[in-house]
Amino acid sequence: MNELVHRAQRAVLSVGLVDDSGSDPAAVQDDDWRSFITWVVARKLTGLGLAACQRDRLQLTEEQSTELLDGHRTAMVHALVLERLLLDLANAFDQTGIETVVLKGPAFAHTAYPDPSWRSYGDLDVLVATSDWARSCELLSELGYRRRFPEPRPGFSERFGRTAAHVNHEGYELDLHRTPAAGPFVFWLDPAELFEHTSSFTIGDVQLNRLTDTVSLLHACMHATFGFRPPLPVPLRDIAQIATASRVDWNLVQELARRWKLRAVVEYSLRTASETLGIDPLQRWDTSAAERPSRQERKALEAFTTERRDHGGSARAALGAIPGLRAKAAYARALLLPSRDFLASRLGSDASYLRRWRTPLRWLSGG
Amino acid sequence: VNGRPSSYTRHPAALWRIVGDEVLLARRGSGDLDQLRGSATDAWQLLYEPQTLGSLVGALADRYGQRPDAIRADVMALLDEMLVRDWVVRVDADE
Repeated sequence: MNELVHRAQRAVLSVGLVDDSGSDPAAVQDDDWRSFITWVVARKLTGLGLAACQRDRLQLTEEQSTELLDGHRTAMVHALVLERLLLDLANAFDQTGIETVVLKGPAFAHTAYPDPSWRSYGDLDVLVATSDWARSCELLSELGYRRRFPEPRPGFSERFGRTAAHVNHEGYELDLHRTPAAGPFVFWLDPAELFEHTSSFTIGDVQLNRLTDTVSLLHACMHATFGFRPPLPVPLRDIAQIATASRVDWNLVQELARRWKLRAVVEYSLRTASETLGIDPLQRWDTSAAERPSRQERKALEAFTTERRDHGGSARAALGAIPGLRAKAAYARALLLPSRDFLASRLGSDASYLRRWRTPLRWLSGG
Repeated sequence: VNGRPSSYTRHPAALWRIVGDEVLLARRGSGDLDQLRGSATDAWQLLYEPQTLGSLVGALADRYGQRPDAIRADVMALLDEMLVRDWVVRVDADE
């Protein structure tokens, strides 16, 4: 990537976080524009891009500005439709007596960012208690949502799972979460505790639950680390936004990170956020030896941040963290011998156990 | 608008985003999205707090370098339309 494009990307990602008012605005040459705007739109950064233009951090031609604005309009129509769905869903869950906590997109957009249009999102994420999981899935089915993939075995989601994507008839997606953690962290973080760290926010005239700023920061770190390798720009920007603009209790961040074995995840994601966005280090906690991540935590992190991720790292690390041999066996059995419905949804019409096993066998043989 | 309570503000249930010089509007329970453009967007931004017809006309006249009398009828029509569509609400003086 050439230096000019890199500078323009940094201007978008860090707008509002750094005072670079003394420097010239970044610009994008015609030859680079197509890849730049594709990156901005695909990575859901149109709001930050426009903010960078409005603050003279990014200088675009009239044609470029029009294209960015068009992309942003599309993103905001999508966000408004999702918010409308969210309010309908929140009402339905409320009437059924199921407590929900809105995660990520709408919650961050309306609380951490200076303007909700800075934060685009493509779907909804809602956390429910494990004890409400089955009822929540039933309710979503009644509301016309279908689960994108069946669970490997009945009861797997409540026992070992983290999230299930549900899609409505228009294609809008709700990710129902039992926990925001993944891999081994699912077994180290008690999701019931998250409900003790909630706060409220409003969309329109409706009050909704969200995680507190402190736990939102931890969640943003998890999302950045567990979501993709390397982490995507929006989760990294969420981290920086919450860390710098919200009311984060850093002592509590440290305490919860220690208890939930997230210290390596938090360190990694804070460092990656500051490097990617080109801003000052975000870490504001005790980095003494006593607070350094354990070997177990670092290994768990590597299941997501190294090539192990592409070789079943998360599932294998999870197996190691599941307490008790009986539970480990149930987990392994569900993944190796899932239901026929699950196989068909993952592998299509020629689904078979042999095809299912090919991938883990390749991992074991080092392929 | 004449003879009605004097102040207007955004409907609290409105879901909205400003995109350039447009406002996109949505609400729960309705499939339609609405759109305001140009000076209507300026009016929307001013309506973040209650405005009388006079204060809204005055602010918009300042912004566009017009005499208040010249835009008063247009602003009244805009407010009427936004009232009909439930994007703004009247606020009584003692509220």
